[in-house]
Amino acid sequence: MKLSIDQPGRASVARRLMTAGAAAAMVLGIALTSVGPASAVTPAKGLATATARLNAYTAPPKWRGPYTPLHTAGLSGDKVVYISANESIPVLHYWSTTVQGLLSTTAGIGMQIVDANSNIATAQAGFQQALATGAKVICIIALPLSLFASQIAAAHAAGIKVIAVNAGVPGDLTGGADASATFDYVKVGQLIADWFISNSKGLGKGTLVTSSDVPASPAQAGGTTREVKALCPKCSLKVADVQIAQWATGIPTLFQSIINTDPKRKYIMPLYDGQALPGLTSIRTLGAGNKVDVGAFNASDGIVQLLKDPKSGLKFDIGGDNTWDSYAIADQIMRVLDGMTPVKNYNIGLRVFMSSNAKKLIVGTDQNMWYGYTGYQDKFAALWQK
Amino acid sequence: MTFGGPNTQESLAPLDEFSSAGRSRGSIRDYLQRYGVIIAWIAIAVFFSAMRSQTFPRLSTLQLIFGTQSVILITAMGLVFSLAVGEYDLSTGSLVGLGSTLLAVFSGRHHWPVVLAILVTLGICFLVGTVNALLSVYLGVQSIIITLGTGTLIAGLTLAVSGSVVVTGVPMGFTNFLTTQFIGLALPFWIGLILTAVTWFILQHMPLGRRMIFVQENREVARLAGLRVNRIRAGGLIATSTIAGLAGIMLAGLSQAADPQSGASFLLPAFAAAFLGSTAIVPGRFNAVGTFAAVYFLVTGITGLDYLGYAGWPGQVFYGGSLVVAVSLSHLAGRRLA
Repeated sequence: MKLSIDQPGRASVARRLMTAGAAAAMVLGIALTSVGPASAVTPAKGLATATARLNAYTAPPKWRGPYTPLHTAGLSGDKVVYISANESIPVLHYWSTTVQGLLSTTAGIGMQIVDANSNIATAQAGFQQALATGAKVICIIALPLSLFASQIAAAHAAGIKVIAVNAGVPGDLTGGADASATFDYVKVGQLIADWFISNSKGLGKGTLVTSSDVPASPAQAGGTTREVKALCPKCSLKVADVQIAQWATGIPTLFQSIINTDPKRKYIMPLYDGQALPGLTSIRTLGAGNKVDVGAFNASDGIVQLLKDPKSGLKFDIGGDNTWDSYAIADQIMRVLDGMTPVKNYNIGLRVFMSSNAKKLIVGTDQNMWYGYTGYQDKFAALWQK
Repeated sequence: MTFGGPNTQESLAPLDEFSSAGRSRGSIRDYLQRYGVIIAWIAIAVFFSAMRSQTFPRLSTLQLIFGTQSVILITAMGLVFSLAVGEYDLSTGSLVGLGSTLLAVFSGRHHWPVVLAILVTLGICFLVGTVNALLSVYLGVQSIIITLGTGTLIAGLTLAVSGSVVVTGVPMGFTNFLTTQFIGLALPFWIGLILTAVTWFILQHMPLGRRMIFVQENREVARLAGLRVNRIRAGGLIATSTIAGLAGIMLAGLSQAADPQSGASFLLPAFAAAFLGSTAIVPGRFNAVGTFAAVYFLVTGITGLDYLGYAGWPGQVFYGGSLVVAVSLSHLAGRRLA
């Protein structure tokens, strides 16, 4: 990936200062970065590939495993400690309560939720709780495992298995996890890139707004940048990093700055809906909804509805089925408790929502229905045998 | 100059008489101190214009700077009222989140008329301010501790009220109303500007403003002089909470939705602007015009960094660094006063 900074202004002294500053930032590895074209495919072939990949996800998702049953009979009374990054985050709260309910009703497994409240020390204390209460499995949700090396070692020494949940890459056990259960954030990133390429006819200029403090971000951002590099030789993609603490106040100016500094750079791709919302507010405030195409991930209820409003600027939102994700997490926990080989990739259902299909697909408040497929619930139920 | 009690006559001498500026009026040092933030604001605008001569010095940049951060302006202006009486309200950010969420819940989920939703939201924020005031002023616990507690409590209640999800459904008519452009800028900026003018008038041209300064300077002496010190302190805290609620209403109205977690992000920028503002115009005093200039100095800095391609951490460095510098300068200005 090539790092580059926009061309500086005319003042030579200022230019030198700027160059020095840019160089310093580049040494630190933190700056607005640019993904240069390095594709081996022709523009036409890249466009066709991206469009085909995107279209495949406009249809309802399909079941792609697992297929090996597990037995729940001996799991009653087992304990699980579930360390959640922050239960104030709506989706994290939804996952934890849904998984807790599934484990309890399916197998009588007790799951204790530890709300780390974005505090690493509290998360680390969760490991102590697991040791003290005799838990057999610890789940770490949306937290980087690298922060818990000694705790994971202690857990393993006590015979406790560790599952990384929604860490980004399915099957990735880096950091000492015994199993993982996650959306395929790499695929999510690829689909955002496919939309960018397809919608711009292979000529787009865009900015990817990442958030390096979210564990799944590198996987998703990497998926986007690699896909653009591979399929779109004429596209231009820059990457900006805005961390969670600055979403509400930093994103509004960033979005509008992008529009002002380069009006042709009309594609803005924040990773998550929560990142997109403050930017969409500034777009609406300045009446710039027709100047930008914003695409993000989550398709959360409050935000995906904005696809129906052209003034909002939101044109694309990928949804991951959170109930499906919760079933996958519960399934993996039970497999680990059973001593079975963990599932590498649950292929949790994704679907793309765009301004063109939002009115048809986003109907009602039951998010499960937006995906057009709830058959996974019966599939999992069939796998969970007494 | 005499300070009168609530029922006594007062002379309306210029506020400068209470400031260092009043004692060294006319010197270059005085002007540099009074207009330092504005000079710095112009300087960074010139710097970024030089660095990005094709894009920064444009009308669209002005619209960006003045049009997108009105919530911070309104929050900071509300904060000035409590700071001006020597109280620290750390619940401000949470109240922005609460105001935002309540408006969305009332008007979006329960389909109340927007005007009613706004009034009830402001009323609830007023009540929170009253609780802050009762606990800190009348019970005697430091406001910084009380508001840290109530702020955390409100943040939790906001999540509970929202169901921990983004709340949508703020009527489009209200959003369209707020985004109506007047001289190229949406309504919240003008509301912030009017609030600035009102704050300026109260603090610098009304007896109440003098009393607030006196209370901040020395509560005991103010009490002996016949001022209703507790009432003035309580009023400052209630005004801060209510105005934070107003900022939240603007936030939800512009977004057409409310993120229950968004409020906390406004705390540091608002404090940074208020403290930075206290080093300007009337050095050593929290004041409206200084705060207005400080908000847009900070926004200009962030915007310029964005234009240069330094989004993200440089913004935090800029805000945090500005706050450190501002508090230090404010402290120095205070020592000059003493």
